Amino acid sequence: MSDLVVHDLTKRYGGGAGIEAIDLAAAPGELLALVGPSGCGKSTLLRTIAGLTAPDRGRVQVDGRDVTDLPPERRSTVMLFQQPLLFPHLTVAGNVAFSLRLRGADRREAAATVAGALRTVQLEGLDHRYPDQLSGGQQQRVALARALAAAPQVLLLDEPFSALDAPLRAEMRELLRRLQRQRSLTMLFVTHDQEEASLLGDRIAVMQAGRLRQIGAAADLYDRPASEVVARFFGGAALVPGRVIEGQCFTEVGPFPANGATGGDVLAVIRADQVILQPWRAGQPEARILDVHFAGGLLLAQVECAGVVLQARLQVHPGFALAPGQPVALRIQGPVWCLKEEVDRCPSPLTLSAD
Amino acid sequence: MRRLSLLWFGLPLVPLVLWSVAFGWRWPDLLPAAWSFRAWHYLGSPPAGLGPAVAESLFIALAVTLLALLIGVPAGKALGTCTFRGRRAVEFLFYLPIMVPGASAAMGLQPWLIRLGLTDRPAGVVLVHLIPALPYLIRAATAGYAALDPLVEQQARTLGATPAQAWRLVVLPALAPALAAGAGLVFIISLSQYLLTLLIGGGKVVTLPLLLFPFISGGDRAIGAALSLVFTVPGLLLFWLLDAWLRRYRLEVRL
Amino acid sequence: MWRRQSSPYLLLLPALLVLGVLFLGGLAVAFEQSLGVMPALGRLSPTLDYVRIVLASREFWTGFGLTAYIALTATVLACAAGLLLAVGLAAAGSRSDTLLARLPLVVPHTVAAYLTMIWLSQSGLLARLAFRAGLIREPGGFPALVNDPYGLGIILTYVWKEAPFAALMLYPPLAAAGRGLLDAAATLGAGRLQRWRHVILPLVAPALGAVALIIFSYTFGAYEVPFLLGQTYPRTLPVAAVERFLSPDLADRPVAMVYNLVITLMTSAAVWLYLGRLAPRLERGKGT
Repeated sequence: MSDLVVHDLTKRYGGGAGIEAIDLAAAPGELLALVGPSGCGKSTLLRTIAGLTAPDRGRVQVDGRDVTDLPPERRSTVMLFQQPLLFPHLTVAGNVAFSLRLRGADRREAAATVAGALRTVQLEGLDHRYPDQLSGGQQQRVALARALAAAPQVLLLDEPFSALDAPLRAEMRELLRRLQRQRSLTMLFVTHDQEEASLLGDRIAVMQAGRLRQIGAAADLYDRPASEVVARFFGGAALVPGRVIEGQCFTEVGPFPANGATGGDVLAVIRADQVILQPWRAGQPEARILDVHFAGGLLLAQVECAGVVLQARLQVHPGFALAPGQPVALRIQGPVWCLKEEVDRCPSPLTLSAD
Repeated sequence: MRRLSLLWFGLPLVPLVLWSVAFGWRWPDLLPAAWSFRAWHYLGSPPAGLGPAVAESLFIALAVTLLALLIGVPAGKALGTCTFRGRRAVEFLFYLPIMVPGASAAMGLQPWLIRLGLTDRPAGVVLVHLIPALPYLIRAATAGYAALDPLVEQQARTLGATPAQAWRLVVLPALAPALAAGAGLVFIISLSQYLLTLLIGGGKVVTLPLLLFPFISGGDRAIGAALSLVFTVPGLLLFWLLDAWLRRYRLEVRL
Repeated sequence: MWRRQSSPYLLLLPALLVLGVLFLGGLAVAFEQSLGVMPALGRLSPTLDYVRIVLASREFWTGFGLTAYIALTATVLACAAGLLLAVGLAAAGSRSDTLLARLPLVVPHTVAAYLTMIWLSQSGLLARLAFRAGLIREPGGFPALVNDPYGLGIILTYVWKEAPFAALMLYPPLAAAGRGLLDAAATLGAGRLQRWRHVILPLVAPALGAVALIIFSYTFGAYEVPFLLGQTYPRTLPVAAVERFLSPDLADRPVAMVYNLVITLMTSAAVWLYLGRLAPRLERGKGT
């Protein structure tokens, strides 16, 4: 079991998608999910850790060993890409045994390792097939087996399941989870899918514009996002500008208790379950229903109030009419997390994990 | 469709076979009056010079192929993977010899090659054969490299391969079909050259085409036919073998 | 340590050197000699005399006309035959037949010319079949197809060798489109001729142009077949050029080089047309 530490890693590209001063630490055996909008630098970070790209600044340490100046083949990190990238001229067994062959491993040992790896990914019996005879899902599993056979200390995965269809993706996630538990492999998993990140990651790191915005458990990121991008990424929340005075946040949609920021101009992160809708009575401030639809045992309503659009979650039978155009009374139930948006400050991973 | 191809290509060759074993085939007979292996016996005998001509042809063709690979593969890598200024000019230069006959250039080169002592020698012939042949290898190598996914090599690197290992175990096998097709083409082109070999070889370097030519412009028909067969059949075999090998990769190579 | 990207110019250097020196260098000397500059004879000042002589000679223009005519006819016929072959291949849908189509590449032009002689000469096989069928009574009765003023033997040899090549180049766009396109056109009410005009021809147009240019340049500059199957007069330009070059009279050398210049210009124009206009369109077509 080894840990991965990245310190002040920076790589600038002329056209964007670079990384800036990234500080990251993955504990031994941890699966750290890396999310962010496209172009935020997630792949660049992974490639720099793998050694495929040289950083402008910063260090990478695997298991306490500084690997920054080492070429990719000497780093004990293996990377898995979005495409399986199996070698077409080798059989499945040949592919999986590739890393062993490079090291000149004993033939019988290699065969045993290959068999073990294929068993782990549930592809026994396919050793003699060629990649073009396999389905997409099978190919990606062979790629995984190939990576495992290389016995890496850190596994880097760059959106490896995004090319697969939904049920296959769920299967692969299960496989990865099982793998991680069995082998306690440290993994860095990049995805653009928030749900996948929450399902897989022990912790989640959010990146934006080349910088690390926040790292923490999914619940932390959901309850207490440190920046707008994190709040938006986990969805379901409306960001409403307001001002906090003595613990109360005053906004266009009303006042409510505030958490997080203690004063000044803020963005209130109003989650759908904090928006309470009630039948409207004359004299009350008016909010209007824009749209209602049924989703998984609940009703999701889009409501407009004072120019702000909010999402509300209700029981399926709320006891009053909920049609588009209908006026309703709206109340925000706090405490609501409020953030002071400071674009260039990057929270240190150490302070956040102490939360 | 296969029958049509066979007809179009196969049928015209049939009289060659007949002629090679004919003894007197005069108008208006549809078949030779008598049969004889005289032409083949002659070819097998030393005065015919078949052995040395074949050896010379093969030696030159092999040399041309090897040189073309050494020179053309890097060029193909540049054209297939990099973007750079002057690219169109380079492509134009590389494409010219395919359509512009190399004979004109060979005629211009002759005085210089004389001065360098390269005429009347296989070395000089190898050099001029490169003119029509090299562009084809460059095209094949370019196509091969263009079809490579750069990520595949990087994947090999993260799995523990040094750059040399990645090249040998991953890149080269991926390029092999395209390079094999290109090399095969270069080999055939060099084998079939007549004028270039004549101009620079000065008649001293005798390859198969040079041996064959006089028989065609008016000579013993039987020997000419036999020689034509000696020329064509191995080439056919080579192509068939190459295609069977390429098929093993389940890839179709288009030049 | 990190994989350094080798400079493309370094990678290109050997090829650039070889082709630059051998090909461009050779052509440069040929150009120089066409201007009468021959250091070996002590002639150092360029002159347009030889160019003028050639451009004024009837022999040159007859040769030029003959060469162009043979090249054009062979190109048109080979492309037409190749197109029919390609459509047939695409309709049949079998991929293994492309192997057979590649085989003519293996037969050298010399042997191809020989085959033409065997089959099509006045005492050739076809003539003998005609005699057996009672169509003619003696060799002279069979039309002269070899060593004839119309270059028919030459053209037919080219068509035999180049039509499969054309088919090979025209097949991919047709195969890519698949039968579906033709069937769709048929269901939309297109008759046979209309299907050709509006479906097949547009599909192959870029590849057709490219193939035509390649075949034209090749047949324009080729030596062996016209030498073996052509008449002693007029000669095609490449044959005349070689004859002049090999002539013991060194004054013939610049004349040979002027001929070479013309051949080079004509074929270079074809390359320029191909790369400049057609290749980009071919690239776009591949995307569909």
